[in-house]
Amino acid sequence: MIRPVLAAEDEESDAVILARVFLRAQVPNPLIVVRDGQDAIDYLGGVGAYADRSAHPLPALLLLDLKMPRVSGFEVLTWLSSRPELKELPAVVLSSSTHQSDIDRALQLGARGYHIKPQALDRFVELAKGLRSRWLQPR
Amino acid sequence: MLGKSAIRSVFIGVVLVLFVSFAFVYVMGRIAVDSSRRLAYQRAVLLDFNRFLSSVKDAETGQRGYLLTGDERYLEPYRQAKAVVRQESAALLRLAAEGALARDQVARLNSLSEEKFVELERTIDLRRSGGLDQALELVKGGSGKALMDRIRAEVDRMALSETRELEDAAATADSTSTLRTAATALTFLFNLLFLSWAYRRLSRETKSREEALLETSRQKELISTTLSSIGDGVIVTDAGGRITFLNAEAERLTGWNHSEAAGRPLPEVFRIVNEQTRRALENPVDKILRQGNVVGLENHTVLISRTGSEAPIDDSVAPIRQPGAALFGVVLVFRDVTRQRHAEEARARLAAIVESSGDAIVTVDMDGIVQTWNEGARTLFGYEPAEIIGHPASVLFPLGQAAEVAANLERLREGSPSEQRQGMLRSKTGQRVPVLSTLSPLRNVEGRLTGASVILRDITPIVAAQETLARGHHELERLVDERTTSLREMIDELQHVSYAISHDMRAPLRAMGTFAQMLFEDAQAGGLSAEMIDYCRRIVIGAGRLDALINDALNYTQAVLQHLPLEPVNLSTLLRGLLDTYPNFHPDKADIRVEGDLAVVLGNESLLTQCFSNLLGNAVKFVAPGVRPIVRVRSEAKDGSARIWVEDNGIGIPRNSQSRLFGMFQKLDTTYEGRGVGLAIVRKVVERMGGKVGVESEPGKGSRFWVDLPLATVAA
Repeated sequence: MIRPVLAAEDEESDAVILARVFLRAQVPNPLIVVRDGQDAIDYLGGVGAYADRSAHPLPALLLLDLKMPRVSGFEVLTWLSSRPELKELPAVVLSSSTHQSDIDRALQLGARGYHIKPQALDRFVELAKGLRSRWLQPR
Repeated sequence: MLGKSAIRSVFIGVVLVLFVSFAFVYVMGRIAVDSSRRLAYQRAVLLDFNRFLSSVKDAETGQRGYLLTGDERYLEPYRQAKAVVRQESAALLRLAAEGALARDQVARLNSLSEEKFVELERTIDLRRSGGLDQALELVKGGSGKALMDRIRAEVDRMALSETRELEDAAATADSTSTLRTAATALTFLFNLLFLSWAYRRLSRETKSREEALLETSRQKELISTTLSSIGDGVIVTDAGGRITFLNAEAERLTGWNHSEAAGRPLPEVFRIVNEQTRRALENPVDKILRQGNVVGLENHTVLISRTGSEAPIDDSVAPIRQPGAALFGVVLVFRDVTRQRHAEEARARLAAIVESSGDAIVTVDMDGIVQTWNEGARTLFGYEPAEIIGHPASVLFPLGQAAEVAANLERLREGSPSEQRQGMLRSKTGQRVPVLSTLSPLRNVEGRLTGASVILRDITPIVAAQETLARGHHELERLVDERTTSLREMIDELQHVSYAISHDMRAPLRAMGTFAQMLFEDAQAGGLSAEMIDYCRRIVIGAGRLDALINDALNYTQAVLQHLPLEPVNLSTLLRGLLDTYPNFHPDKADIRVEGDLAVVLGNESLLTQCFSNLLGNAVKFVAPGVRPIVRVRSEAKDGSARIWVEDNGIGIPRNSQSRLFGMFQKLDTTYEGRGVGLAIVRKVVERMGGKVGVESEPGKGSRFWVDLPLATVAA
């Protein structure tokens, strides 16, 4: 079965847009969206509601927003770097922040890529296509 | 050396001695003459006695002859002798009458001789008449012989006394002559002595007189030379007040030369007035004649020279007289006191400055003993001058710091340059006095260090002001800190806001735009009217524009708020990068030429990128429709800064709009896509790098933007 893409995204609109964009970009992986960093950590750690790995399989790609309630994207990145079993999971930041400091910090914490959320739909689709070919093509 | 009266006494003494010795010799002479006369007389008397006696004997002898012979011839010598005896008797009587012989002796002798002759006559008569035997009988009777013996005895007695007198006279004559010889010899000796003394005396006198004469002429020379060369003016007059001598300084001061002035009355040459009253002053010669002793001129005397120039003088006038003699001239000595006056004035001025100075001005000797103490010092420290002058300056130092005085003097001795120091001193009442002190060396004429002058300024108000200032400074710093903190907080807040804008506000916008787009795409598959589809399109465009606006605002705040270090940036490299990166600047869209090597400026790469991307972006954007943009970039050096020109062939900018050009959200031309933020960002970033930006432009003739930035080489 195809492993999903886990997106941590608190903005519901963005989540809907992301789903549509994945569809348009013909990304084969199912998209699982969690509401914040804490949920992402729980999912990846198989904690609580996500304990069942068969219902909640480990993703092939983690898309992280930076600014989220409870636990931010940076904290997720930090947590991730402390989990050797998740070393293979690429985490890519998808944020509206254009601040160089945010970009530098994310990459420093182990993010494999940093993308600013495009404002226009077609540009977003382009981005999704890029992600698919970079991270999600079957080996 | 004997005085004249002594010499006179000596002479009188010598004359007296001569007189006395002459009188003595004369008297002795007289005595000697008398004696020899008496001697001769006595000898004559003795001779008379002898003749008398021998005549008596002769008479006896003639009598004997006749008696024996009866020859009448023998009576002849008898008669002769009898006559002689008679003569001699008379002579002896004369002598007795003169008193030379004792009268009774002579009378006795004469009567004896009468008796003898009577006896002789009788015998003779007897012979003649009686014969021989009778005569002889008479003779044999011995009366004749007894008479003869008595006569002889008498004569002998008289002769003896005469001989004694003769011896007496001889002795007298002898002793007086010896005395006379001695007196003469003594007188001679005395004269000799006197003559030799007088000779010595005379020759010495002559010699000293010659020397004195020589000395006098030398002194005259010396005095003349001295008078000519001394700094004082000297005028000599005769007793009548007419000038006889004028030295060089007097010539200078009076304006008269010696030959002109000689013989003139003093007031004509030596014109003096009182400096203040301008009253002519009394001729000093008259004053001398009146008072007869040395006089000085009154103060404030001014000498007016022949040319009318004036000089303050002080002077003295002295009479010239020979010892004991009347005055025969006056010498006037005076001195130009202009310089002295100036010096006194300067000294007085300095003293007044020192005395009136608000600062304490004190001098100490090299032992640290106070020498002078001005009014300022009295006020500051409370010591009266009499209380502290002559005492060690260390009393002015707080307890335990007395060694400071010696240390300061030691520094002076070592020749350390004087400097201002701040310190704490102690007043008489023990109060602490903060002072600023300046210590300077005092040297005597030979340049030897003799002490120090110390100027002490009371800096109590300054210290108080400093403290206030420090407090104020502290307060200010605290305030600045406070404000900086609040400003920083505000900036953080703003950054948060901008972050929020970039993240939170763009998210709904993105939703609007994207969903409208989705709607638009889906509608094309059917289900919506053309009108609805157009609405969707407009929503998409509006959202896009708003997003761009937000983007610009973000860039602007970033340009303003971001902390960016300045470093050398090679503009040629930067521009090449820009031209490669931006599709709008590619040769197919525009003709952008960078001329030569651009300057290396002191700036920030990110800010410079914003600056030039905006300028170039404008240059290629604002061209007339259908015109291919031609942009020229060049730089020129100008006083340590570089001016970079960006020149285009665009539509140009009206002069009246140029001032608004660099404002925020200023759009000049609505026909062009844009939000009026670019040039505002350009100006902001250029100013942040310490530069300036401007434009020269005319509508239709293109624009020439310039940016001045500091050159990196100068800063480095």
